[in-house]
Amino acid sequence: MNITLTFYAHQPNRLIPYDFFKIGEHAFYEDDELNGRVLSEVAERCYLPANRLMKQLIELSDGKFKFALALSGVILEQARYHRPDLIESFRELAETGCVEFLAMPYYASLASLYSTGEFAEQVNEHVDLIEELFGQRPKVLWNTGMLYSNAIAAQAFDLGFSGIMADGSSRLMSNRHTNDLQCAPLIAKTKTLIRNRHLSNDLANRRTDPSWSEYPLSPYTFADWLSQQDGQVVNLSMDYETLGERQPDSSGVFEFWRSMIMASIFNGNVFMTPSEAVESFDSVGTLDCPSPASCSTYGTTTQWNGNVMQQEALKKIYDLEAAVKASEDRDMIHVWRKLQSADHFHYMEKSNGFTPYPSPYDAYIYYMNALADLQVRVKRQAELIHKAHKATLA
Amino acid sequence: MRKIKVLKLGWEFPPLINGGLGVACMGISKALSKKVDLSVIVPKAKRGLEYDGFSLTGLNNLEYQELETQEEGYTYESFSVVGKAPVDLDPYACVEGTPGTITFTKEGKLLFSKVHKADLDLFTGKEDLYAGDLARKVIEFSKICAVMARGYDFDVVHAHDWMTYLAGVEVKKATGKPLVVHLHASQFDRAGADARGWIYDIEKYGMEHADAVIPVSKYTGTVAAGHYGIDPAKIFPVHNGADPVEVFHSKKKFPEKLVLFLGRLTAQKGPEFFLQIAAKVLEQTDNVRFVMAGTGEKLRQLIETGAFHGVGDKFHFTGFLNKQKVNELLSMTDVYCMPSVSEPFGLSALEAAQFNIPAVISKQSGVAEVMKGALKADFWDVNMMASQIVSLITDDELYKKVVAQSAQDIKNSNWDTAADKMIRVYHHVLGW
Repeated sequence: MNITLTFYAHQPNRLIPYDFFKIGEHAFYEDDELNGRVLSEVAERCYLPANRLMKQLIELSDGKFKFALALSGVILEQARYHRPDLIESFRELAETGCVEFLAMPYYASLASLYSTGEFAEQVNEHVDLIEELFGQRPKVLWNTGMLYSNAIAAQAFDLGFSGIMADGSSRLMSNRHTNDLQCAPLIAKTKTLIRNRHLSNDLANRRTDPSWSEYPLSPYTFADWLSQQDGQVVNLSMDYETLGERQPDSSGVFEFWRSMIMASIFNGNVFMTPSEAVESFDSVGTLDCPSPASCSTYGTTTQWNGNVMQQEALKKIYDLEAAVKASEDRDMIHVWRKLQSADHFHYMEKSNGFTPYPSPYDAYIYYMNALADLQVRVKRQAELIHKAHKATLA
Repeated sequence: MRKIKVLKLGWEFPPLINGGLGVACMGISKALSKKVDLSVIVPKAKRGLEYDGFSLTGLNNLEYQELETQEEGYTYESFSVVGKAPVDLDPYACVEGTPGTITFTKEGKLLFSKVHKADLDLFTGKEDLYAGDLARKVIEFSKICAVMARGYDFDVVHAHDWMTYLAGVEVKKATGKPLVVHLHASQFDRAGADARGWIYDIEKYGMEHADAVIPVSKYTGTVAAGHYGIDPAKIFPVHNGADPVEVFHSKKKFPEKLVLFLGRLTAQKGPEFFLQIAAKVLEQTDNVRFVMAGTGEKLRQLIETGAFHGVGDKFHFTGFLNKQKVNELLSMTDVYCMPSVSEPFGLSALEAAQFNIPAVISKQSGVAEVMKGALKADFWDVNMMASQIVSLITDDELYKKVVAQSAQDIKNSNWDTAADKMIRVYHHVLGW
């Protein structure tokens, strides 16, 4: 069987407890110290050892092992600032020629849902960065949270991508085969690769769950499962944190993956990059997805925009688009874009356990206060420009 | 006419305070003590704190021996008005539960025992005055005050709010001196017109046994007469004063005007109305920000409702602020808004006036009687308050006029004026 394996990696820019009294005078919203520390710790426990393992596997398999990385612009920015050795580590992988970098909105944002213009600009910004850092220009799109819809696929086509990844949730895939390429309606040139959710979650979630029927999973068993799959290509995709962070070293995760990959190759499975998959296969049919689907638990967008606080925050940040862009201030536009990262809204979800803030209400308040400060700065900038205009006219 | 001697019974006293009650008590005590001989008894006072004009005794600082000597030869009267008292009740609590009850003798009479050392311990611990077994604290306080009062020389006893009313009645019975009760806030304000229960019973009992009732406003006086059935002839409203404060102005860091709501986030203070007012104002102008300073049971609900109204970027929450931060906020506020559903007085509107901030306040408040300068509307009249706020932030002339009038209003709002009125009430009950 053919296999694509995609890891995505992103770390958010967590905010400081931005209180009301800072509005208008404190232009720094992010907790650099916290973010740097978290990145460093996750790099040590996960990204760096995982990269080393992948490189080893590429060497051991003589280049038969290939995989893809979807790295957000935000995590790359953080790494450049706090852990340049992490960038170097990804670069070494790029140089093997067996790793494909996928495109995504630079800020891991929900722009694909709220502003198509922004979405295009953010994807292009990301693609430029990947080319600058790793010498590759991405051809396949992996949207934030694997957000996918007919409209998003159409945009991927407009942006010139040959492929786009989507999650194979049962909502989307009612009677379709996950392991076959599809196309969105009226889009022929951009093919949709569907994530095999079941097998991906076996590795990402169930492997360490003692109540699972297959626990403890043997890497050889999983390799067999791969071989037994039907269709064109099995697309596995999960958070890179699976290797060492969500599943710590003590769970045997690195050993498992080493054995599993080598066994898969030994069984005659072929690892390919998403681009190769897109080039090798034709789409078997049309996949109709009128409303956005994601790789979240229920396949919907509710984790980001299900409650009123999230909806208000999303509305107000995107309301600023025209004014921010009119300022032509690149730093301010960058700050505005960083506030679009989907994580900010995820932290306002009431049932979310992974939050750096005391409560989702605090997440909302810090965010809206920071947003208010940005509004004030945008206004100030607009006034300066207005004054300058009047001066030049006079 | 010689100087009156007053025994005052309070509950909270600075610096150990919860809300406005303690602040008012201190203001009254300081002013009264200039003209009367004043002794104050409270459950908890900061150790070692002394005042020039009056003696302050906290039960937490008493030695048991002092009490014992007073108890000789005194039998408590039983009083039967309180049939059942829930054991864990706090008028500021927001969680409803099923309180336990303490039932009394089969005739419904409570027989007071002697004061025991353990009873004093109720007040020496770290527990908040309003937490734990509040009913027991109130009852113990009255027992201990009745005993202690026998050692004081005074003409009239003055009790502040329901927590001390039982003590006031008990002191009156033990010493035969007239009782004046002060009504700063009632269950009607806290819990609405349907509020009944043992706190309401104590409020009614205290006011009925009192020789005079001093509510902090005419508005509260009408509540006492109408809602509690107290004879209007013995109701003498006296408005609260405001302590002088160091006023300063600071420039805010954002360009928009600032409208402030300062208070606990409970239904009584009308925070939801403030939210609706904000939404209405923001429909008309975006050159304004709203800030809600304070915390309370309704905080989360208000945050979500604010998001729902689409004002999340212009409506800010600060949570609880200490005095210094409150003053910092007042120094940059443009308009003060108090849409209280039922406010016995509303000291914070006076404080805003001290900072030269015009106020938009609810007619259902005591302070509306004092502030000619403030703009007023019924608490539910969101449209009116919104248009008043818009007028204030767009019309400079109106703004200046309101501020000037408010400055006049607060000239007479001081504790000395209030104390003089209270002394006249003392004369009235003493027949002097």
